[in-house]
Amino acid sequence: MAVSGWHYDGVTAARRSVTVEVRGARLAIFAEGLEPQLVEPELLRPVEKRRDAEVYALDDVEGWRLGLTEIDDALVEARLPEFEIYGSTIDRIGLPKFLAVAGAISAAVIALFWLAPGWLAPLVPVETERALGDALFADMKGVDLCGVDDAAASRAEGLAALNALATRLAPDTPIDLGVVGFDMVNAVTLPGGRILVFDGLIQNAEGPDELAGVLAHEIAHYQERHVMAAMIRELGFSLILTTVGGSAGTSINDLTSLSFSRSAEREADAAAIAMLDDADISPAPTAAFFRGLQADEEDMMGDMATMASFVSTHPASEGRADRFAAAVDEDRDYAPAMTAAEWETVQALCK
Amino acid sequence: MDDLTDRRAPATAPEYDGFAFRGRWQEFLPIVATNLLLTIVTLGFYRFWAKARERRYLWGETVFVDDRLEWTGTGREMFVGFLIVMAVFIPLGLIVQFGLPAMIARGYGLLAGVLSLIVYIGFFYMIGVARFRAIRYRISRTRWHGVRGGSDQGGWGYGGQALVSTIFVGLTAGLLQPWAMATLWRARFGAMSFGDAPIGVGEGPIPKGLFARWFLIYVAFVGIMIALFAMTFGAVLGGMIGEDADSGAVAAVSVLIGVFVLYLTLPVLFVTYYAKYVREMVGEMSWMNLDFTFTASTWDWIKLYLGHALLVLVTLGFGYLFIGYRNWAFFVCHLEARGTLDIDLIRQSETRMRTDAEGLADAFDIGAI
Repeated sequence: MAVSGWHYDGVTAARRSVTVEVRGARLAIFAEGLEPQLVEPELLRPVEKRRDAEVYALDDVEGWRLGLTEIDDALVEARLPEFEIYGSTIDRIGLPKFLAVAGAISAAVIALFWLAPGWLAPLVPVETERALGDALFADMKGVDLCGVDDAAASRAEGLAALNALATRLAPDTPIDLGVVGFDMVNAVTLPGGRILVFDGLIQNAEGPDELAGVLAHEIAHYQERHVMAAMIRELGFSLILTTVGGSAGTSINDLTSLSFSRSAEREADAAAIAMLDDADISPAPTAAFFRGLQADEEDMMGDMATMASFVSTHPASEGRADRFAAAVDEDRDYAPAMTAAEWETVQALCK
Repeated sequence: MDDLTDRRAPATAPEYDGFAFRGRWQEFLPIVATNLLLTIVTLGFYRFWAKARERRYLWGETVFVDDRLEWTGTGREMFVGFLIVMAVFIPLGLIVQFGLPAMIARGYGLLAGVLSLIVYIGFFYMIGVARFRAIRYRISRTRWHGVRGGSDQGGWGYGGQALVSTIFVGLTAGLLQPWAMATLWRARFGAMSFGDAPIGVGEGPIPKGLFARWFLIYVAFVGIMIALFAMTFGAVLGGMIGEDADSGAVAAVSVLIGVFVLYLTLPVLFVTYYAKYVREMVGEMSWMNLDFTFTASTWDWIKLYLGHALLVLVTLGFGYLFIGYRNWAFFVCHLEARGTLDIDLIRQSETRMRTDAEGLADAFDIGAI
């Protein structure tokens, strides 16, 4: 029955051998050359369980240490406090339980950050979104905006044809259309309902109906506030601040790097099919367009550089082409999206 | 406490050179493994407590003379330090990133320029301060025989000295680097104490041989560049005269070889310099009646770094968790203390126990040495 070890008093570095005994509720520490010290066990703070000793401190005496190398007394042992392993909170809860609880909370936090943009986007006033879109558009320098600010009659006709198509698809949603002289099969929707169609898309389209399907898809992104949600998610706070700061410095490349979630794509597809239906435009060419994209994705050869662009910002949902194809009513007599003459003026916009 | 009668004979340090590391990687593994798990599930917040746990083990397995060290730093204080640093730097960062461009956009270009210069200089100044505080934090949280270290200085002067030194080094195209490194080492460690005894550092001219090894890097660089130029030029010239049909290929190969030699030689020469630097600087240091020595040769350092790289590669990245362990073991194993130490004469440190933690340094990610 012996408890022994060493002691530092915190005043000097001198090391003293000690023995410890129980005296009532307290521990008596007998150190060589020192008066016996009576210590309340509750005041002992466990420092560390070393290979050679269990070390305790007294918080109100700096540097005071009691190192017990031999603890062969159940009475003393029962009065010594427990050592921390991972930290007091985790030790109390237990490691596996803490890992499970903290893991669940963290997953919830990450999910919240992921979902929050979708919840926040509808809360942004339309005027604010429009102002944001205008600021982004105004900052776009060095982008060849075919037809905009150009008085040429042929361009005016092409733009008029495009705008007429947009109005036909979404009569109640004001949309600003523009064509960008990029050889890329894509279209971007800015906040506030400004849609920029890349010339590569127009040149690669089989006809105006195909363009109508993509346009309807982009309009749906705007209507469902997906654009705002994507902006909030990817650019977050910095976008708002740069806009407030006066220099957005956004390039067209930043915008094409924005991507929508797969669920947003599904929503936009469904809305686009409804829009085409209301406008009496056949979804068949759009189905063919998406099928072409799918084939392109599977066989990454061909026009990869141009075609992959749309896929990168509009992740393909499984069976997207099939859903457009299924919406085709074989018996219905669809009206073309625009006349052949109008389609020619649209195709000539960036010429 | 005047127990002269009881005093034992002064402990003589070097049966085993004063320092020994008793850690085993098998014991460290569960610590870092659980730390990694906890850090992941807390989205990184546990890392402060993780660091404290690692250090508690490493310090606790380090024997100095006759007893183990004790790490008294806590995760909580490092977390608070981090919060303090963030509270200062996030607003500052926002101003730099968004405020200054906004000022330029509104026509206050000159003011924005002056402000960004101030911020830039201030940042370098704070690096010096942070470096000083990192050491002060570590020495004040290190306990041995119940006694700790510390410093009466806050590192503000050191920050200025480091800034001026950096400017001098820049103005001399790096040639003054050994001087700057040596004087700054002396300045930061010379301001520290352990127990009631100051840490002794060298005085006067900086140790011999440092400049020579530093200049060797320059010489090698210029030499390789000249050789490279000569080979390429010769090959191209040969092609022009028409003697050598493959001159383009020869030029390309010689450029490749030159770049390879450059990338291999310069880091090795730098390690050669650095190994000497650490040996010389530690070799100048003393505490009480002990003189310190650092024994790591250039080859030892190369083995350490190659070991890090191999370990990380072979374990697919998990070895990264052991880099701190390996560095500490390397440091302790090569550190020696010689002389006699009258332990009973060492008294507790009277420096203030600062609670600004290492946060300031951690934000810059600067180690103590």
